[in-house]
Order: sequence, then structure tokens, then C-alpha cells
Amino acid sequence: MRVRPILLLLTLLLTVVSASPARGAPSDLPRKPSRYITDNAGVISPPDLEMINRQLDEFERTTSNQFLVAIYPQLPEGEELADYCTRTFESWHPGKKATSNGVVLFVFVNSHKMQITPGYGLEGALPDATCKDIIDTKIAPHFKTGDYTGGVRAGVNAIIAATKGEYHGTGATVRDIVERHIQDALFWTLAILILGTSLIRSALRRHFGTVYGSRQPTGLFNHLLYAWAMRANSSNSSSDSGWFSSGGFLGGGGGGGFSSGGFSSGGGSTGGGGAGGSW
Amino acid sequence: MKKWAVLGVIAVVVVILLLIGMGSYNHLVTLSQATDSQWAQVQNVYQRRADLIPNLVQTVKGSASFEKSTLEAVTNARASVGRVTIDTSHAPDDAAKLQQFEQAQGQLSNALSRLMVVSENYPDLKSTQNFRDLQAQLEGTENRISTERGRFNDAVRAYDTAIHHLPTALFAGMFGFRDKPYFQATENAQTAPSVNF
Repeated sequence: MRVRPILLLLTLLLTVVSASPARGAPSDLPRKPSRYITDNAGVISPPDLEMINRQLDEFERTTSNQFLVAIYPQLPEGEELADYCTRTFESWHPGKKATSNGVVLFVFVNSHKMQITPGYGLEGALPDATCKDIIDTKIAPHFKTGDYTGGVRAGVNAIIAATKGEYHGTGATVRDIVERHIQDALFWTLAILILGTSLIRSALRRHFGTVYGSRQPTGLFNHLLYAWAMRANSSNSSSDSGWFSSGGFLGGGGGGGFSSGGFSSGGGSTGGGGAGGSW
Repeated sequence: MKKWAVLGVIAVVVVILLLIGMGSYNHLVTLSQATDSQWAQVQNVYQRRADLIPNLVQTVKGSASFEKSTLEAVTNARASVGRVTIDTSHAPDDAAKLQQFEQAQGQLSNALSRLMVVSENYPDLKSTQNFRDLQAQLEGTENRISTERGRFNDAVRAYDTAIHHLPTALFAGMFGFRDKPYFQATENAQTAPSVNF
């Protein structure tokens, strides 16, 4: 009987915890891209997309700025351009968390609208007037003639020129670092699994003789350890992502195949600055 | 023996209550500080807009024969914004005070909006680089204002909700945490003046 108040309190606590309001992001925002440029409107050819993606991947390596280009058929009904782009930026979080050095160029082809949204950390390099100028004088003239590739490339070059001096990169992208962590986690999971089974096996062997005996698992563990040591040695060079090889085990790692690098968000934030325009 | 059991239970209950109280307090402090820092952001962006105005007025004055009344409305609204004194480092706890602040800023928004509409009739003004830059900055700043206002409201709502939720509600009053007001006007009344290009 005496335990009851505590139980009651605990139940109360649990209900409160589980009932706390969960505020999720609105589901109508576009999905976070995995590449630096995504063209959902089909206005830019794959080779050009590949080239711009490589350019932006390289840009992150040298400056640590995360610059995305996102092209959509249209701005959703009832959405205000700047507000929609700000919210989308906030759900993607380009740029590093500490510096918020991300920027996104949004294009809504059939709505004839575009917006440059810089993160807090690039507001200095990309003041609103500069964004407006890039839109009006660099991009819009191309878009007016239907030359989307030319417009995007001109815009990308202008934004890169404006922001390249602001921060310095480490040679690696956020994606590289994330992949290295995944590889490490995979390695340790495997290592513990193999070590665990080999311990159990040797225990079994001790008790039941050599029926289960095979020294292979321990041998495999040694191989793994060796591979990991090699990986640690090669992790200084940014382009080679290590012991799973750059052949793209996790897709888009250090080159090879179709992909020339991918985007993983660094946690940046925006205050809603920048400029919008139409053509 | 029975006595010890009773004492034990009481001790456990007290410890649990203390832990909950501490957790609630820390939680409320965190949420309250979030409203303060977001309020500072709101102040920043409003200040940013206020700082644009002298330059804007100067540029528009340069354009001969610009409608005097429109320009005066902006100057006056800017002045009355300056007269509203409000603590910039702490989120306001007085709803009337916030409303007064909001009203003054709203008037400035309207005056600026009118200025932009009227400027459409002055092609010579609109074509100057200086005016175009100011227009872009003003538009960007209005967007920043609506962004930071929205986030301020979110922060205050999270705080207000926590105050009224169990178990925090049991301790909020005891620790002196009170409801904070948030911006009332609809986003549209305050967001970017329709600057058309």
C-alpha cells in the first residue's frame, strides 16, 4: 500500500514526459539533397550537373563553405518565396554549425522565381544588395533566354567569387568525415562481434574439445586490425577514404563511378537574409 | 521496523521531488534564456532596419519632387520607434509594453511600404544603384524580421507551454517564472512591404 504514492508519481511523470509536445518540421518542405546541385525540373543536362557538383564539392574542400543549388519546377501554392526558402534552408542546415557558412541558390523554374539564401556566417560576404545584383545581372539574363545551365553557372561562379575568401577549408567535406565515422563504427562493431564469437568459441573449445575448433575468427580479427591500421595511415589524404577503399562502399565517397561527391549537412543556420528575384 | 519503512518511503519521495524540482528549474532557465537570446535577435533585425532609414531618406530626398508626406511619414515613424524604450537583453514580460513596441514598428513598416509603392512612380529614382541596393537591403531585412519574430514566438510558446505543463507547473510559480507575451499581429501585417520589381 505504501509504495503506491511513488508509483502514482512515476506514472504521472511518465505521462507528462510522453505527452510533451513534439514540434516537427512541416512535411511539405523539399527533402534534404544528397548532392550539391539537384535539378528536379530537368533543365540542366547530367554532364553539366556533374561538373557543377564537382565544383561545389571542391569549393567545400577549399573553403568549408557549403553551397547548394536546388532547382524545382515551381514554388508550392500559397508559399511566400523568401519565407519558404528560409524554412527549407533551416531543415537542410548547410554550413558548419559554428560558422553557419552555408548558402543556397533556389530556382523555381515555372514560377520564374529564384532566391539566394545565405547562412548567418555568409551575410557579410553576401549582403542583400550583392545577392540582388547577382540575381538581376548574372543569372536572370540567361534565364530570360531559357539558358538555365548558363544562368546557374554564372550564379555559382559569382557566389563562389563573393564567398571564397571568408573561411578556410580542411580539404575534407562533412560527408568525408561522416563516412569516416561510419567506417569506424562499422569496424568496431565487426571487431567486437568477431572478438566476442572467438572468445565464446575458445570457451566452448575448452569445455567440449575441438569440435568447434577453428582459429579462423581470430585470424580474421587480425586482418581487420591490420586493415584499420592502414586506414588510419591513409586518412591524412582527404581524397582516399580508407580501408573500405574509395571504390564507393558508402556511395559518393572519394570519387569513382558517377558521383563526384555529396552533401552532408554541417548544421548551419540562416536568419532569412539574401534576396529574391524573378525573370 | 515499520517506522523505518515509513521514514524510508518519505525520504525517497522527498528526494524524487527535489530531483524533479531541480530538473524543472533547469529546464525553465534554459527555455527562458532561449527567449532572451531570441529577443536580442529580434532587436538586432529591427535595429538593422532602423539603421537603413537615414540613408534611404537621404537617397529619396535626392530625387527631385518626391512626395513630401510619404517621406515625412517614414521619418516620423522612425522617430516614434526610437521613443519606445524596451529592454533589449531580456524578453519582455509585460504584454502592454510589447504591444506598444510592436505598434511603433508596425507603423514604420507601413510607412516604408508606402514609400516603396510611391517610389514606383519615380523611374529616375528607381534606376539609381543606391536606391536599388537600399531596396534589396530593406526587403532582406523585412524577411529577417519576420524570420526572427517567428522564432521568438516559437521560443516563448515553448517556455509558456512548459510553465503550464506538469510537473514543471508545480514549481514554476514557486521559482517566480511567469508567462511571457509574444507578438500578436499576423505575420502578414508585419512582413515585407510588398516591394515589387
